[in-house]
Amino acid sequence: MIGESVPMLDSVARVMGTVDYMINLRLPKMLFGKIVRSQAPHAKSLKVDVTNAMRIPGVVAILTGEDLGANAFYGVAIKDQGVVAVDRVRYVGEPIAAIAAESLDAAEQAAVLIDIEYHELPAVFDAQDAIQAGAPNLHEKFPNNIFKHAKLRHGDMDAAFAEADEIFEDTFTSPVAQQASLEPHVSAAQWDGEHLTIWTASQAPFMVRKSLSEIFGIAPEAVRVIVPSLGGGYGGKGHIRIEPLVAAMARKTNGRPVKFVLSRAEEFVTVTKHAASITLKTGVKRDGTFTARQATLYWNGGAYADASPMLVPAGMVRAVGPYRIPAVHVDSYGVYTNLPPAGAYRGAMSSQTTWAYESQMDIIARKMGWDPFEFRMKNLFVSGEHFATGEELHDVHFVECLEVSAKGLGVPSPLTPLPKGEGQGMRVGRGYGVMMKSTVATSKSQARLKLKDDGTVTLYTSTVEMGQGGHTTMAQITAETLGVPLRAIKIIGPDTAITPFDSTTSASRSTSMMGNAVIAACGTMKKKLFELGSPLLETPVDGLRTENGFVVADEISISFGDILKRNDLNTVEESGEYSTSFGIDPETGQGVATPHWHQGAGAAEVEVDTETGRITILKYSAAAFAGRVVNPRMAQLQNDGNVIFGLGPTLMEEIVYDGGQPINPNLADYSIPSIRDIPAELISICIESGEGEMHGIGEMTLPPVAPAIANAIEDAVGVRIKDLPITAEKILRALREKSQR
Amino acid sequence: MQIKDSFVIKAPQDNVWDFLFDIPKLSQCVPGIESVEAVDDKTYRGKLVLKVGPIKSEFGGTVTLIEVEAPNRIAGTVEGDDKSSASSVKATFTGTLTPVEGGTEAAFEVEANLRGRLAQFGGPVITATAKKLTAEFAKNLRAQLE
Repeated sequence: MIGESVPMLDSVARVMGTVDYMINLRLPKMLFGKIVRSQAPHAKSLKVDVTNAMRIPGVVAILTGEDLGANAFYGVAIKDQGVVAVDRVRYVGEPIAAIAAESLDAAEQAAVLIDIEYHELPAVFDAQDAIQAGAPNLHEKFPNNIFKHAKLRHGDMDAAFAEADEIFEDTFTSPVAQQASLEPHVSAAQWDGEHLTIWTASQAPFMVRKSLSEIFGIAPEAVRVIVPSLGGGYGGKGHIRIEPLVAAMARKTNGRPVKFVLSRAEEFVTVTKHAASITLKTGVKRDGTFTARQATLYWNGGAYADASPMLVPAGMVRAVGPYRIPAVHVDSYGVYTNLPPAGAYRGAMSSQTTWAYESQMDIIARKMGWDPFEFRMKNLFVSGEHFATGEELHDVHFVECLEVSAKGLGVPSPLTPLPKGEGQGMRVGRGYGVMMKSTVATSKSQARLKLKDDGTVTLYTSTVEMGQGGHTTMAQITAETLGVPLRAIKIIGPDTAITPFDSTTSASRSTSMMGNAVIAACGTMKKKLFELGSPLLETPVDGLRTENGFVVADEISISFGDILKRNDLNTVEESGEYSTSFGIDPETGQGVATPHWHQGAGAAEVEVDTETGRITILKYSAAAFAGRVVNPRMAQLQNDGNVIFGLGPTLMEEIVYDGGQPINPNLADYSIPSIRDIPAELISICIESGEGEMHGIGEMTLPPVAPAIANAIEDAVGVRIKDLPITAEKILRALREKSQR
Repeated sequence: MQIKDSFVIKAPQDNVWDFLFDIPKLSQCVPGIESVEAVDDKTYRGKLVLKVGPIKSEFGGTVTLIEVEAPNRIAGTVEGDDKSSASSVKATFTGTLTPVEGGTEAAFEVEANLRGRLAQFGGPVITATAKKLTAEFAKNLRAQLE
């Protein structure tokens, strides 16, 4: 069963459009919610008058900062964000009030009648401007606007740079972008006395439960979080977002449920991808080895810290790259600005860091006269070597990833020179990218199995199905490990009242973490079945195995259902757990950053029109290390999807602000890749290892996309773009500058 | 957001200048203006109805002249908001009149900070709307002056 390309469990429902997304949720006596947002990027002395709005027929309640208690601030590590704004607003789009009404029309009518007064303050939008002396301050506790400084210290930098024959220093930038999942943020909440039920499109139901219990001062068990199938997440639904506001609104409606569906424009002010400026100073020797790397990263966290206090240190270890470098120092800064809060974005932080270190790889190789492919192959980590955190690397396959992706371009060897393009002004080039990404260092997954006397198996799991096929994967693992047919398995979850704990569905961790919890649960279930079945089969436990829903001895067998019936049992329940507990020292960055390093590579062949700057991706070939593939077809679709997703920030995606006001928060002005942007030839391959451990593959082929394409462009026309996205205009400008030199 | 445009009117510069300061006449030429009243000789209050895409907005606001250099140049600020589309605008503008062959060239530059729902249409839509309104304004002005 593991290793088979079975169709997704809900594939028919997906094609028929019958999946019950949150957006379809209707509850009895449900009210409709609408959020009133700040137009100012920074203001104080906020006054909100709801008198006129309350007069609109159909308006049931209005939530403002005055309703909130002292605990109404939240955040993953720094509780700086109000459920709605209290006294101060810090970005355009920050919620100031919310309305619950009998109809959306009534809520919208009331929204324009809420009178808002505030005193505007100077605002700052760029992270490096925000840390300058005299810049507007966002939070008093952080006078220089830096809310997180993560440090990695490995080796003697002065000595290492002194050994270098050449030192390269380059800065690479990525703009603010948006996760842009097809389904927006949607939540509905209902209170029954001091018990809260919330239905929400979230990737982290237990994180939502914990935050809400803290905000409202109730036990975690008094909060029930139900998560149906998501229409995509990409990290944007990865922590806690609109749930506190929705729950606080519902607290004012006398037990009636209230539902909020964000518009596309609201999505753009709810969560974003961090803008980043990354400077790499790298020392190399003439023999093609590294001596040192100093990385300085500025992450634009927006107005509230959100998940950044966790992501900024993750970005730190993800900034080093998959190469052996004797001395490494990294300083990773999370900075407040008057933009919407930034959060995880598929391939979190690695999308920005890989852009930097893989672009610089080619800059170095070209300047030193080395082939970029060979330079990488010479320096890539192999198993048994030590990373800059001091940890030993296990099961690493960067070399294979790069080789396999290069081979996918269909040329005899990566070193074969390319024909330089056909037609006037058309040039062809080839480029590579490799990435190394950590996952969540400390996390836990639990799974519960219920076997019924009819032979069916129900798996209770809090893994969120968001189109990635997570539930199908868990069903396959159950079928294989327990020895039951796939059709006997039913999946329930996530629902925090019913399904056991899971940290989050993100960071490509589910197949590995939840997969192992499922394997553990199957192990205890099998043990139980053997104990119950052994007397019936008159065979000792160690002579039994399972197959196709039967416990099998040498010549006889008995079905799981019959074992239960013969023991007068209706059901048997067993649980399993898998957890990892690692971490690094906050001052030195030394320790173990991750239970497993994610590995991916990409190779691009592009054509550049030197007259227009237009780029066409002729071929793209990607490879990811998967350990053991559960479902080859779904894994390939994930890897292909990563590449297509990655084309967005590479070629087109950027939120443009005017004085803090986003001016393209819609999918007409903000383009995401469409079917027409997919390369004519797109290949992706999963690499497996003999050790057979299952690893996630949800992000691995994404971060290499941008640098592989930028490197191919330089190969084709000799210009280097260091600021994403790589637009035709930027290429054309660079070509003109080059010809004037 | 920056909006920059110019057009030529076949009339002497002084006539154009005088016309621009005759508020009742001028306001008839500005597309969408519903009312204008002078608060003092430097401040005007008015109402403007604007349609951008599917959104119809009714802006109430104030125009303040900061610099008047007859008959060549004016500069000032505009502040207004529209409750129904939850939008607001703050802008500075400069207008110049220059004699050219056969008439007067009127040029203006606006640095506008648009916020709220209207701003979400993005620069291209707003700029296109501004171009359209300018063309209409020029046409109306020509009808009065030429």
